[in-house]
Amino acid sequence: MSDPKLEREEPSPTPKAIDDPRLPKPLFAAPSRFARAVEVLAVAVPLAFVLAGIVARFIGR
Amino acid sequence: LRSPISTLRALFCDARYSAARFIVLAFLLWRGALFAVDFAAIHSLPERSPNPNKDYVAFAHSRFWNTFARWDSGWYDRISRRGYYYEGGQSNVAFFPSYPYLARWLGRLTGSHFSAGLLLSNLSLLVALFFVYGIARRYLEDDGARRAVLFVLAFPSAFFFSAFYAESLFLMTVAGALFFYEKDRLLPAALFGMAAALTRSSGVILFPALLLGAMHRRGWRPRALSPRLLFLLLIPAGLGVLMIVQWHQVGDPLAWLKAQAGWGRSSTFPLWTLFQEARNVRLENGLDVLDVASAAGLFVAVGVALRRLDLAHTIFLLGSVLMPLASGRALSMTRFAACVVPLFVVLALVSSRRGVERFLFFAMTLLLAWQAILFANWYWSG
Repeated sequence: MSDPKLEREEPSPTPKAIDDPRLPKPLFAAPSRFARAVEVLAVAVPLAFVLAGIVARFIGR
Repeated sequence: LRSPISTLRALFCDARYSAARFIVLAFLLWRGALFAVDFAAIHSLPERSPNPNKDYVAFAHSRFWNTFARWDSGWYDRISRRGYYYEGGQSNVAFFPSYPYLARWLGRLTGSHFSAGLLLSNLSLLVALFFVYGIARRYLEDDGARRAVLFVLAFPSAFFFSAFYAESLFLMTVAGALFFYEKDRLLPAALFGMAAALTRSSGVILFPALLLGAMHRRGWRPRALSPRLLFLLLIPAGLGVLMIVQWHQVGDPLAWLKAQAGWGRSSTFPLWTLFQEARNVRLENGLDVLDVASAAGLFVAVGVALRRLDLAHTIFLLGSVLMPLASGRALSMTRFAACVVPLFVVLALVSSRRGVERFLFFAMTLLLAWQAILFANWYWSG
């Protein structure tokens, strides 16, 4: 006779809905290389234009 | 039924209302401090002279209350009094109607559209703070959400929230739209969005932001798309109302768009604007630097939001920086940034460390005081 406590636990009957429209859902919910690349580009490209403008100012172009 | 005394006691003592007490207290203290700066500014420094922009007096008997009616207040004043009309190069058709018309209608109760406008600005700010707190609580604990509220109040251009400007009303409508969107209550979100689209041109960014955000939340599955998404069409309808009003009053539904040329704005690739503005920045005018820094800061906030905030916030952030830059100038970007609600959630997210929090508050408060002093004395401040 097996101990009921040692029996394998049943999986959760109702897994949490992944597309619940009441929950915030970022564009990149999980970290990935692609997400990291987009994040870096979203910041680096505009800042590069600012930096280029500053450099152009100082070299007089 | 509770007695009025027990209701009052609950409001002042009950832990459930702790955040509300914090918001009201922060609002009163921060506005009080700002008003003290304004008062000192007009009594210790000379007003700009000569001043061709000063072609109206908001309050004939109060120098202090006049400090809240500067620069663009004149355009809103003329819309409030006479509606839309062409005035040569720069014209009041460039400004959106909800703030000046509400000031006009409320002015019948208060006796002046200026006093009504100031009341509207300050009340809108208070309501907006509650919405900002509610949005920030979706992503942060209570102390983080309180930081977001304080960042709104301390932002370098936050003095516009007490001025005869549409900024407060716009902040409130944007925050309301995002607050109800967060709860997936799309009808009130769309109604606030419609009001935002009637307050400032960038209000219409809420349409793609909320629509794409809501579809993303539903997994982009056609079967999951709710007919309630159609409510969001109310947001561009707000812009439609403006076009009908201007068609009726000046005979051109696109007058608001064409008038942008009066401010030297024309269609430009946004990143090219960043390059040009960084290259031509006038270092003697610190505000130029602040405007370029605000645009760059908004892009950094987009980078943070991509993984940490809902897609709707990210799109609104991105649209709020791209739209002004697409007009060829970074002019007034610091003022525009003050109404980009997700920016304050991002600031609260990145300032969980005490040192970062203190640095940001210190820097922002200094810039706020500097800008408020300039504004009070009619110097250009965005």
